[in-house]
Amino acid sequence: MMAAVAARELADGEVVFVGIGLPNLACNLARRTHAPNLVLIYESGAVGATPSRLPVSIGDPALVTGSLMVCGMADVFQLFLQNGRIEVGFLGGAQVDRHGNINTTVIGDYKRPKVRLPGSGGAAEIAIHAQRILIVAKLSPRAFPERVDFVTSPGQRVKRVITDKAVLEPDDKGELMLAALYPGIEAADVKAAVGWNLRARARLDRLDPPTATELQLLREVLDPKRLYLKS
Amino acid sequence: MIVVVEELVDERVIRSDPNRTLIPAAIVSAVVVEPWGAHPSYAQGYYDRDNDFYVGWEEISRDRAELAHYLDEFVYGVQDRAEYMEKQPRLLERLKAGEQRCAGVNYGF
Repeated sequence: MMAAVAARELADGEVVFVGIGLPNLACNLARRTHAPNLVLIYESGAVGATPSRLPVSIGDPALVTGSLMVCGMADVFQLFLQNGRIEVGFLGGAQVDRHGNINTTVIGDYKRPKVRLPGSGGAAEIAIHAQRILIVAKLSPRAFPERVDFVTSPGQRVKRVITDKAVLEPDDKGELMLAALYPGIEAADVKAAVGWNLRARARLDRLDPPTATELQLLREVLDPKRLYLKS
Repeated sequence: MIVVVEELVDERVIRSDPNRTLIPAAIVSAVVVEPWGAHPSYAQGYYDRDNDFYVGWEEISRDRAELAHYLDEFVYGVQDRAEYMEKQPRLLERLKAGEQRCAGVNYGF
């Protein structure tokens, strides 16, 4: 459901910075359904990639064959991302807060951490340079605290937070609000899984479950070994 | 700089398409000809990335004894890459690259 919802967020022809994991699945699903002209840019340097199979790593020969260009990682960040050429960036993280800030650095106090996380990688740059940020993360009070323990990637450009129960969107001041519910989920379920008093839009959207086509592509074509899909 | 290569070719092959040269001889100290030297990663046009190995590596690397066993068998226990490949005869058929040639370039002027 998360992969299908994320895929539907992408418009045909958009330029997307693709990470590995669920966003990778979503981008390739979109390319095989409603967005055949999606321009996929992978951090490894593949620009306009047309992978014939789902790449399991950003270093995969299927990303090179048939792509528009293969450049160095520095060029991806400098020529495309910092130049404002990336329209959509996907991010995830251990913590997402009320204002869409993301923490992938540390849980607890920075100097005396409970858990030390991998850090930013390219995430902070994507967060400030991509025109539109989509966050993909599973809901829980621990993962969605009122304030993150550390701001790795600022939330100003976050337009949607795609979770396993609902979609959140920022209001005009940047505070995340409940915007749309997945089938069988009620607003109370979402509020209980968020660490602050989550407000809801006056009119909530109800999202459709994945179509038969989306399911077939996800399960049989893109991820038959269930590396990303759990069910 | 030591480079590990899949194949040695005549200098004319390199000079026929200089836009693709990444490392010229002036900065190379030694060359090791070692086919399949990048496995479990890939060499485009030679062999595919061994994704099954990477998935399996999670299990191997999680356990100290398992890791030691792997290193004994596939790193310390082989003389060279050729022996490493002989131990795994099915790698070749599973990962050998197909053909997809590019159009070629006209360097005339």
